Amino acid sequence: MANPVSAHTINYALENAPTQHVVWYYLQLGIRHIIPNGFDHILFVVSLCLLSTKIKTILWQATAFTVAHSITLALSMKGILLAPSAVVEPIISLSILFVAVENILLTRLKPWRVGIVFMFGLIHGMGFASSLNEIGLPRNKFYTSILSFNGGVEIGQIAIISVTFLLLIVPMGRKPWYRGRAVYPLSAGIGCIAAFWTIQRVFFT
Amino acid sequence: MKKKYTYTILLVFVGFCLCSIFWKYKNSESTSYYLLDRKGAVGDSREWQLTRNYATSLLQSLKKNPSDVKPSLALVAIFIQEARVTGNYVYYDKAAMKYVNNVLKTDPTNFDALTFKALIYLSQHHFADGLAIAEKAKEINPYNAFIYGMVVDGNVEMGNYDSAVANSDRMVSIRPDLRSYSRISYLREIYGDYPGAIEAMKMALAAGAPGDEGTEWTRIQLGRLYENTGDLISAKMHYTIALDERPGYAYAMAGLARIALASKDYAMAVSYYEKANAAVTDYSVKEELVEAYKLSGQKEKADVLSNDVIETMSKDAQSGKDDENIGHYADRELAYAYLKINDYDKALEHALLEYNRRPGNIDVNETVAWVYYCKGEYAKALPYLRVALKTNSKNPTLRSHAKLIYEKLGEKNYE
Repeated sequence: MANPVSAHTINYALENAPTQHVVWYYLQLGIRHIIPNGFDHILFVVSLCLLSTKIKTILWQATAFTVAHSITLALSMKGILLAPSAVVEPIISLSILFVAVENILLTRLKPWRVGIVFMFGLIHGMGFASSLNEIGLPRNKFYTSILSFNGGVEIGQIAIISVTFLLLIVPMGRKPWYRGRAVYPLSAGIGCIAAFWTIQRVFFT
Repeated sequence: MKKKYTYTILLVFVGFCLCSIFWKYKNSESTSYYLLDRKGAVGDSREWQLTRNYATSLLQSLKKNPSDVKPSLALVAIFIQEARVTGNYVYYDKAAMKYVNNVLKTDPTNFDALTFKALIYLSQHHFADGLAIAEKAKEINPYNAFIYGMVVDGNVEMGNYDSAVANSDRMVSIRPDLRSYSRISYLREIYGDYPGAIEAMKMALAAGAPGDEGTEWTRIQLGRLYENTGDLISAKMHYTIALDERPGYAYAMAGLARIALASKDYAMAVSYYEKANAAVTDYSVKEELVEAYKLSGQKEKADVLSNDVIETMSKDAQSGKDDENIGHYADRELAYAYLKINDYDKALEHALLEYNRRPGNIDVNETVAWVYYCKGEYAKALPYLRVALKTNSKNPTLRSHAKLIYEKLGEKNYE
């Protein structure tokens, strides 16, 4: 693993920028990191919504995911936790595959599911860090920028959850055919994409 | 029951993938690096034979004693030199970084290892990190001229030109040689003093042994200075001498190609560039070849090469994320590459990425200003252009870009 001198790339240009500019910049960056650039994260979040139609189930998973990725994002940017993309990226695709297949196998939230989502959240956080590192952070506004980025990621996730809710769960969630005609095919589709990524990232890169 | 089986298969698959990921990563960590075959005439030289034999013997001693510092550092020096000769920085920087990190694991304050690490970071365009390591090494040994060179380079790239000048003065006072004179020349050029830059580069050239890669590189730089001042005859003479001293030298051929291009001899320019491109892996040569193809009416070839350059540069940048290497920042080069295919949004994205890392550097500011100009956003170009002109550089590209931007803003006599 490389040991750069600074824990993160330094964004020198933003060190002299006003705080509101920094907040806006990283907030937008966080949103863009999910919509439209984070197709794999979008699939993961959609998969979290497919397990059950209960809002509580989705919230439990989304919270576990958020807490986990926030922890590793901060630790990675501080240089406390370092993981290469060669390890992180395949595990991210593997996490999507796992959650998608589990949606077909489970009908309601099991305690381990939240734990697994939390574990995968830790890995996704390292993925966020790797992308954020390319842009860099201003040293004098480290926490402001990282919190703003995280805020942007949350906005992106909430948008994905809301759209899934409005377009899928609200109109179809109570239908008897919901799982058979919506959850299974969607989860299978997501699973196939994730399986392709997993094989590609593990064996062909 | 069926679900139970599926679940088991899923868990087995996940476990297998996880094991493969970690096994593959561990394996990549223990990869040994060798010298790759050289392309073109430089591959037949006696110097290459000696270098290859020496590298083989170093690798053998490392096999016997992997923690031996001396052969590790000697190997690093060879990899760094080979990167320069072949232009294959992606492979050789990675190789050099591996052995440097091995040394620093056992001896974190090893001066030579820190110096090499600074050099690799600078080569990978991680200028802030390179400068920080060089400063650390300078603290350990403040009487070594070479490390001052790294500090000068890092400061130049980060746009700290005053510090660069102070350190180059110190460097030349410790050791007046090819390296220190050539840095003085570069700084004089940055400050717009072309006669002074030529004078210093001549001194650098006189301090080197003819035929050495370093000396001929310096000769090419002297030729480039003549080129920038419009003295194409002197430039051509130096490129020809370099090619004579070092047959097949890619940068000499690229220099002669530029001279042919200036004389509108496009067929000759393309021929030189193609030979240079075959001998070295260097984006700047490829970019110039794209231009030569365009001027000679070979648009299709230009487009293919342009896209190839973008793809390779992006891949190189990505490759660093996937392994021990930290990756090559090539955003400024990518910005220009995207400009060539008229993708202004991507060009701006990359120009600003580079600007965020080094907002004081005049070349980076010139790039951002030029991208805004190409996008037709002339007022946005202005603040960047002002920074680009802060050292009063007389670089012809910068000056012509500045003139065009100021004209669009209604200022005819900006100087």
